[in-house]
Amino acid sequence: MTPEVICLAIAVATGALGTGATGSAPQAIAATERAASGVSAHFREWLADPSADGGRAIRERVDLGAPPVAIIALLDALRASPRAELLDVVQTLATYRRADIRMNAIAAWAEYGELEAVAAISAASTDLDPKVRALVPALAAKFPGEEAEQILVDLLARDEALAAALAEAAE
Amino acid sequence: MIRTLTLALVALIAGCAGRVLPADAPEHGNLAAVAADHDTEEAKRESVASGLPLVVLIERARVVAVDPIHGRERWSLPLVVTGHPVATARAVYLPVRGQRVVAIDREYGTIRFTAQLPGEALTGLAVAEPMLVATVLDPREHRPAQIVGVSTIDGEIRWRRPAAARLGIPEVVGEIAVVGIGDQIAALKIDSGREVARLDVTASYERRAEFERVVHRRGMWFVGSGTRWVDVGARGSGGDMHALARSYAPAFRTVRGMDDGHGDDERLRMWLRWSSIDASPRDAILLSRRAVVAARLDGEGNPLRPRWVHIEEDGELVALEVTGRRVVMVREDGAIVQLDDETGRELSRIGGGQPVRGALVLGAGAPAHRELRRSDDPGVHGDLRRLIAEKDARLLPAQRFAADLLWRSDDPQVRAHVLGLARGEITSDAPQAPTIRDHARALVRTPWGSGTDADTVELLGSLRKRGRFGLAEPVAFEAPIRAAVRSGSAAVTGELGLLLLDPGTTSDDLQRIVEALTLLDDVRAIDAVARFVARYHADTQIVAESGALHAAARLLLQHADDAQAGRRAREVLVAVVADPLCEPSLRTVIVRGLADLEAGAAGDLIRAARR
Repeated sequence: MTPEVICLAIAVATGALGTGATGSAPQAIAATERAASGVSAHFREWLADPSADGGRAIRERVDLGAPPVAIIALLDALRASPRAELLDVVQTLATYRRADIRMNAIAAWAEYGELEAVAAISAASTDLDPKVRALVPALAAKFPGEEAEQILVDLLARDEALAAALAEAAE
Repeated sequence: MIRTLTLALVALIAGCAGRVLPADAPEHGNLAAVAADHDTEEAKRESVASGLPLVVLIERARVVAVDPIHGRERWSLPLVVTGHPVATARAVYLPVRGQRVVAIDREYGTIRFTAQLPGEALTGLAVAEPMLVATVLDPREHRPAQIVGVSTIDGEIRWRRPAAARLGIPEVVGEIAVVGIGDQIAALKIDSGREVARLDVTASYERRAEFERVVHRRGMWFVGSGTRWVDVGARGSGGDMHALARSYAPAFRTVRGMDDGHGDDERLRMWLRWSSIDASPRDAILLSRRAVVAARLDGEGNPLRPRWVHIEEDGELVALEVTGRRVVMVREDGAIVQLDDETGRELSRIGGGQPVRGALVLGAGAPAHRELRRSDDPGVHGDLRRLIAEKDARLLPAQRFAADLLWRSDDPQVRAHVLGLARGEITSDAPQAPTIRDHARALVRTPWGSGTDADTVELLGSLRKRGRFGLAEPVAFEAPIRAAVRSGSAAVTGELGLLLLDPGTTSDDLQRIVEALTLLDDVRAIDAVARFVARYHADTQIVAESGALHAAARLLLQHADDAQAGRRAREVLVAVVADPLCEPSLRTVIVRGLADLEAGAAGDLIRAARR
């Protein structure tokens, strides 16, 4: 088992990367499902538009506030195919109050190149939520480098719970 | 031989007294030491005698002395006073028409002598028995400025010295007279006019000021003009410059070369009580026409906290002095009003009669320290608001002072009056109302509360910290948020806005921040609050974690009709309620708030935003 697989396994086990259902009451999701789907559909439509208009529409909708489900869907899509003009949107979402959105935003942010990956890993390593910090090993494995490795080493020296979980998974 | 001896004798008589006082000479002597040479026991006796209160009213062609304690006229004399009088424990010296000085027995009002001064105009008088020192101007002379020493025993001129530059208003302490000349002050022996010390104050060159009055207060020497003064220090230091941070009224009388008597300008004065450890002013009493405002000053000479307010309903005040624990004020009709210096409570009122141009208030000096156990007038903030509402345009300096004092309060509800003035919500049909509004607008752009710049820097440092994993101790924001409400600057509002959007901020702190921003009522916070509401309005989890989003929405509603930030607030509110995903309870708050606004004066603005 490679370290990357171990780390991703931890992330999945802790619910670090998901579909957006994390933390939301099922009833609330049901009640808003139609509208949230509508926002997600709009995001998909705008993502499919490679012009500046599509990016602008996404930025405006995120600025106006969107349901978490739709935001996570957007971040999933941006993680799969990052759009350079939306890096600031992703970084802003990495400061969202909900940890699940921050995790998805940081995961998407790391896909924006080597430098951005280091910045994203660094941001994850200082996050107060352990689920977000649990992303660091996975991202460090996916985007290897001296800086990422050092961030991971420093984090594991401070975060005993994460170090223990990592050791347990490795066994 | 006889002729030579005669010439030598004449030269000796005219002698050292006639030697020119240079305008720019090397520093020498020790001012503090020569001033300390006087007999302290005699000074104490003098002080006790001087403590007997007397108000000398200067009418157009008469001088009346009144005992303010018993409300009795002590004496009156038909004199046309042309300058500012001075007094000792035993006599009052009045400059009168014809370039003369009349010495009057302080107790009985009998004329002791009349002295003829040289020159055509008086610059200033100072007295310490047995010598009266006067600075005069005589344009007919080669050197117009002169300083003369007049005996207070017989009124004879004992010495006179021409000066190479204009002389300021002198001060006499013990056996020396100190006078400003050019960028220096010179200390002269009062029995001979011999110069014993000289110090640079480098006034006009470095400080771009022309200091013309020397004052001695509680062991310290000041040379000042208007709202600025130099604390005269050691030789070579040039002295320490001080100034009232804002120019409400002059603290030092200036005569611009000639003392032409009591004038209209004296109805606007700042009385200062200096610190006992340095030359910084601690208390101030602003006399502004009919209004008197007493306040505590901060170390930089800014108004810090109001103590009391007094407004005369009828007639303006022409003089104010603090004697003992009494503030003695003289009205233009000769009435004498006395207040308790601690509380501003009226102690007595003596009816006036003839109009007066000015007055000399004599009595024990102000105590060095105020009674700290006694609190300020509890109704002072209401009095300040009433003062601001006065329609008399001549009260404007006091009204500006009042607004400044309200803005420096640590209580946001007190400061709200200034915000109301700035926004035009509080106004009147007074001619000066636009000026007060402009002043309030300028004021609300400055730091609020009583904190210093250093306090604000420290507060900003606290607010810029962020909670992050790995810190030895968690970051606590409760105290800085509370401190920001009391005192801060525009930068503090910005930092609170950033903290509102930071993911590490606890839900309790979110609530505190929005409450703080609501109390501060600062439109500069609207953008951050609008972003907060927009970002999380559809997130039931975030809406439910605290009341912060509801309170933030209310804050936006409160500013929806604001000229500056209202547009942003309206756009966000309208967009949020239009979103079917908006959390229902939040939507309810906004829908109701917008409906209320729509029914009111801001209706058109809301309808436009909806379109």
